[in-house]
Amino acid sequence: MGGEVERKRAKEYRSSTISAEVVANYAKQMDLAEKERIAAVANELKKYPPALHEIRKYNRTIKQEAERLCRAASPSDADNADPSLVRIWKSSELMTYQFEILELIANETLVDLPRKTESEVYKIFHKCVRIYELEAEKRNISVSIRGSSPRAIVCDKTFPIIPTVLLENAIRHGLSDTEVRVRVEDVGVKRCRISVSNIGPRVETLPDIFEKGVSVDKNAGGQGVGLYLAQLVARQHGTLITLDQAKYSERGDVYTFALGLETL
Amino acid sequence: MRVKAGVRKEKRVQVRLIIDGGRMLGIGRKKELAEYNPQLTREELIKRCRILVIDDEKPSLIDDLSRDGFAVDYDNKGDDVSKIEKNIYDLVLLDFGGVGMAYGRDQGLSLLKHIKRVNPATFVLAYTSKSLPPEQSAFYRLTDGTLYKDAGIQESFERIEQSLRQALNVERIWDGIVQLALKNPEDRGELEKTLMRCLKKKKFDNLYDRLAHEVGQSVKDGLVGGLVAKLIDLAMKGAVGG
Repeated sequence: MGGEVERKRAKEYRSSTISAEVVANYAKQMDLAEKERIAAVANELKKYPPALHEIRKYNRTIKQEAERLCRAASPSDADNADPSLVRIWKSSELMTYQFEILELIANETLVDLPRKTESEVYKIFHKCVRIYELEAEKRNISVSIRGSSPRAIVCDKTFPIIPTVLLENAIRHGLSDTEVRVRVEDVGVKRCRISVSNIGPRVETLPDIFEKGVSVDKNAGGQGVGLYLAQLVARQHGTLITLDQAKYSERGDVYTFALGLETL
Repeated sequence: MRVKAGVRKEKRVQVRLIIDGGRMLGIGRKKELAEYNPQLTREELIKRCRILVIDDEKPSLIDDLSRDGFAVDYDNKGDDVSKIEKNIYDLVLLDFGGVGMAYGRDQGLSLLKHIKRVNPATFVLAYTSKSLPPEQSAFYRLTDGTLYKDAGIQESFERIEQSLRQALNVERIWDGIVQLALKNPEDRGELEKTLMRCLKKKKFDNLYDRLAHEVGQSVKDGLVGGLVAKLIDLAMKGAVGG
């Protein structure tokens, strides 16, 4: 208030009965209200981590009890226990992955953590496939995984976010009666290539789907955050996720997300 | 003269070929410290190791581990870490919230900093389901790995066993000894030569003397001595192909 623009406006609208003082007071009140709103949101956000913490505790109880029951019922292969029990167990496994994504949304600096843990890449993806098979079944999609079992040094806190996001994405956007294929292959010396492909509806011009907030199909349920986070995690591991689109049939295209990874 | 020089060169080449060939077969090659790592069976691992869980709420995983034969201790506050300082534990599962209050405002992070300062060889897994803000992310940075608190039982066992194997890695234990004993990190090479000579001869007085010289007192009874004893025990098992 009180600037050049205000003076011009005052000359332009001489008959206006609203005084500059009233407008200034109103603007000041609006500023205060905005500050209070921001403070209230910040305050609410502080409640979010403890709430998440409590939910994770309940999830742990459900998961571990379900796993104990499955192992007691089928000691040689717990995955073959009563399907309804296995469903509870795997659903809580899925929740754990989702919590990790939420944690990364709340604290993106986690992708600055060092890579310290020697892990079997295939095993991480295989576990994720077993969990997401149930989700895929609901959409009449099958999931297969094949390949070698290279070992790599990963950040155990963040790396599982990559298979979680890629599989979830492939199933969410996949057409029914199709297959999601996960492949882990050795390529060259001390390097592997991981790919997740699905068949989805054709999109003529794909946006930059690794950008925050970009979603190809809002109706499919994505928030446009998953691939952005997965790419951050890929960068943390010295690589990048790429997307390749190829024509499949009249029904749709084959979409292949792939990343290379240094192995031991 | 030229003929003699040619013969000498040929002989040198032959000797080089014999040496290189021998090295390829492992003859005359210096053994690396990593080669002293023993291949422990799961039973041996369980028998050798001791785990400490520091968590304000006792997790049911402790009962699962105990049932499987693991030696597990539980501490709900983490206020007294004298046993960690004495190197009793091979692995610590450390929660963030509600523990380590005696060491600072940052709870588990403050305790973790203390543990890493007094005994850097301790293998610590971050064991929390709390969503930590950026200023407390150092908790994950300083730990040696993460075990999700809501991980499944089988998954938790696999992660714990993997961590115990890493904790019993002779190179890692040696890193801990060097960090604790050496004032000048540049002396590491010389100290390591002493270690390798001792391992080869299976006599360790020279190593203890050298470390005592660095520390300024006998090391046999202290933390460094405990770590050296652990390293020797593992390396001797590794040396005989155990």
